[in-house]
Amino acid sequence: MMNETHPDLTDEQLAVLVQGGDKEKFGLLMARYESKLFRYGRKFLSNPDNIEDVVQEVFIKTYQNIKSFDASQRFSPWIYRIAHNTFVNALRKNSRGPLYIFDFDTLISHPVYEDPAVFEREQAEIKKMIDKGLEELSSNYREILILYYLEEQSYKEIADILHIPIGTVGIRLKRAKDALKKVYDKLGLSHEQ
Amino acid sequence: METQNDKIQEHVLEKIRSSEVRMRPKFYFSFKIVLLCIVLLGILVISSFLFSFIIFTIRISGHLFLLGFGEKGFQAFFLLFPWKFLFLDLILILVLEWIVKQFRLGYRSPLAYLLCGIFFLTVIFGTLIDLAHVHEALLHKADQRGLPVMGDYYEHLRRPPPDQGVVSGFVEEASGTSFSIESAGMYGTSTMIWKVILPPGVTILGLTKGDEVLVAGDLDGNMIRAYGIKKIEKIPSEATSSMK
Repeated sequence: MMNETHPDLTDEQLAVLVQGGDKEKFGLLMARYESKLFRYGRKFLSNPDNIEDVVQEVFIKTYQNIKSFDASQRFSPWIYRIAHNTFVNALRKNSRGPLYIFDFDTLISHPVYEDPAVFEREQAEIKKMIDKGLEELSSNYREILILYYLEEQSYKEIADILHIPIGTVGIRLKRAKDALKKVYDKLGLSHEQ
Repeated sequence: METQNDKIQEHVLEKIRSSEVRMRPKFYFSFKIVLLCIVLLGILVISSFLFSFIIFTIRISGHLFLLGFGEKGFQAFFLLFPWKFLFLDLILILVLEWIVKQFRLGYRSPLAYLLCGIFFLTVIFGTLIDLAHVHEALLHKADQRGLPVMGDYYEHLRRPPPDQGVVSGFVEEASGTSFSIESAGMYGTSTMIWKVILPPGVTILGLTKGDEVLVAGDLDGNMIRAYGIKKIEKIPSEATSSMK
């Protein structure tokens, strides 16, 4: 049963089938998101030992709450939201200080320029930089870079995952890129490497 | 060969098949949203009530006039301001903001706009409560000892403790440079006569027996050396009687 991939069915259609009681279809959803969530979790949590347990917890919460999923919306930001909450809890368990300090960028609105051409141009370079310099960044910068450049979520979707205004996504992303470049310079690595 | 990923999937599916992990029913989420909306409305009403109470407090106690009594009056106004209600209201506004942020409209709005929006709503509802003369009615009830929880707060509005040198009462008799006022105690159980010494160069004008006045000054036993005096407008009796 788990080997049937059903490429013709979208995530949202699979979620509706699971909502209707088709438990086995949840296996397909897990198969589609498992590697993505592992990648997101590993990068965000900085290679934790218990990543399997955390991802398993994400899937369990997803199944428990799947009836709250609105099938007119995209499934991906919804499951990433659950993953975000679970990962933040996992980070909280392992950290002594406050995880997030107040973000002044959420106070007022910021202009949003989401340019696919800029994304295309930057993605390869940022992906390489993420591989080496990500651990040096704060968790909120780490996470937004992962979601945008690795998980390829749009500004709107990231706003729904992190529960922040869309304008804040743009400004935080810009600050995260600048911080990553600084880390890269500090490590003596070239941006073009 | 089975990978680690397959193991997790199989493990989760096994828990689902054995009903160890179950889907929460749809009504659980609907109920949660309804509950959140009820709590949101409830807190909005309480917050608006507190806001209108603060406005009513300042208006009815006459403390706003203290601002016209110079530096000392400003200090007295600051000391007598109902800060605890303001802080409580601000906390409620922050709680409201947290609840609103659970919804898409809330978290997608910048925090400053959201807080302004909530504050604006509180002001609108607070003004409506004030216009409905709810506090006048509650004050009237408090006067008749019929208001159990908030009674003391309402009583303090008209009869604040004189510690800060601000006393309100009714004019008993007036002479050239001084007059006496009768200040009622809580629930009218006791009264106190205060002799008010006017500031140098000031004479009594337009005060007659029975007028309600607010006096700010330095206390010396039962004597007040006033630095500011203001006649207080009476609460419209129709307003209180219509709310009974």
